[in-house]
Amino acid sequence: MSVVRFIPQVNRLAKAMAGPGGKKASEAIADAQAGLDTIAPPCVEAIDEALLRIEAATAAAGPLAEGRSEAIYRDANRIFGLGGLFGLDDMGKVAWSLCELIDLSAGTAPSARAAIDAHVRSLRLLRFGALPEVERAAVLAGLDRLLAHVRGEAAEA
Amino acid sequence: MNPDARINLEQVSILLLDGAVGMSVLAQIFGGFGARKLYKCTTFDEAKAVLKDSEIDLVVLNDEVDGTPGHEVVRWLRRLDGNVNAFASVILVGGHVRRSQVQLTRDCGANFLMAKPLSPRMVLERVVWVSREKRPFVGTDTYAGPDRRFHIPSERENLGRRRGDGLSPVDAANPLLPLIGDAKT
Repeated sequence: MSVVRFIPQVNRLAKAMAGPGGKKASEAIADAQAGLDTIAPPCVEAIDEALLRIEAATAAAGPLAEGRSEAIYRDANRIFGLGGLFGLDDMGKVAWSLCELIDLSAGTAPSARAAIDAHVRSLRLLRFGALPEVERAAVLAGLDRLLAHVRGEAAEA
Repeated sequence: MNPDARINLEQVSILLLDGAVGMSVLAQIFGGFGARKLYKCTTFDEAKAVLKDSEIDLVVLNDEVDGTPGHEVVRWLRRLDGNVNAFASVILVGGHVRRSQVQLTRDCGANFLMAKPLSPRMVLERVVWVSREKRPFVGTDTYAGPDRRFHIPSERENLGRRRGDGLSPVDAANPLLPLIGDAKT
C-alpha cells in the first residue's frame, strides 16, 4: 500500500503578490499586448519558416517516416501556438488539425497522407491566399470533415 | 477579471522555460504585467541550475523544451527534496497534446495546464487563479504536487444541500478541471 503524505503549504506566489505597488489588471493586459506587438514580425517569420519546413518534409510522396512526421508535428504545433497570438487564427486551427491527424493516424489510416497534404496546402492558402472570409470558413469546414473521416478510419484500424 | 483589480508581480520570482520564440512571447507578457524578477531559461539544464540556487515563486514552462517534455521537468521539480522550489506554483503551457502524453501531463504535478494559443488576459487570469490556490501538497510513490482532489465553488453552493449531493456538478463532471481546464485534447 502506498503512503500518502499531505504537506500544507503557504502559497508563496500569493505572498509575493500581496505587497504594495503593481498596476491595474487592464493596464497589465494592455502593456503585455503592446509588448507582444513589438515581437510580431519575428514571430510571424518563425511561423513562415515552420511552414516552409513542413512543405519540404511533405514534398515527397508516400508514407511519412516516423522522424519526418515528428518534425512536421513539432512545426505544426509551433504554428498552432503562435498563430492565434499574432492574428493568424485560421492557420492555428489548421495546424492543430494537422497535429491531430499525425497523432491519430501515425500514417496508418489510408487517407492520412492525402489529408496531411491537404492541410499543408491549406496552411499556405490561408497564409498568403488573401481569401475572403466565407472561403476561409469553407476551407476550415472542409478540413474538419477530412479530419473526421481520418478519425473514423483510425478508429476502425 | 475586474479590470481595476491591482496586480503586483514586481516582487515575484518567476522562472520561464521555453524555446527562443516562446520565451520572447512569455517574456513580453510577464514583462508587461510588471514582473521584474524573471529568470529566462531555454533549456532544462539552465532551469535546473536556477531552481537549485534561487527561490522561485512561479514556474511557467512549455510542454516541450529542447526535446524534454514539460511533464518530466515538473516531476523532477516536485521531487527536489529539501528545496522550497518543490512547492512552487507551476503553470504548464501546452499546445496540441498527444494522446500518449495526456495522462502524463495531467498527472505531473503542475498547478494548471494552460492551453495555447495564449493571450495576455488568459495568462493573467491563470496566474491570479494559481495565486489563490490553497490546496495542500500531496506526496505518494507515484505523484507529488497539489492535491488533485479539490472543490470548485459554484453558485449553487449557496442554495443549500440537496439529497445525494456529494460533489457539485462541475466537480463530478470534471474533477481535474484546473489541470486540464484549457486543454484542447
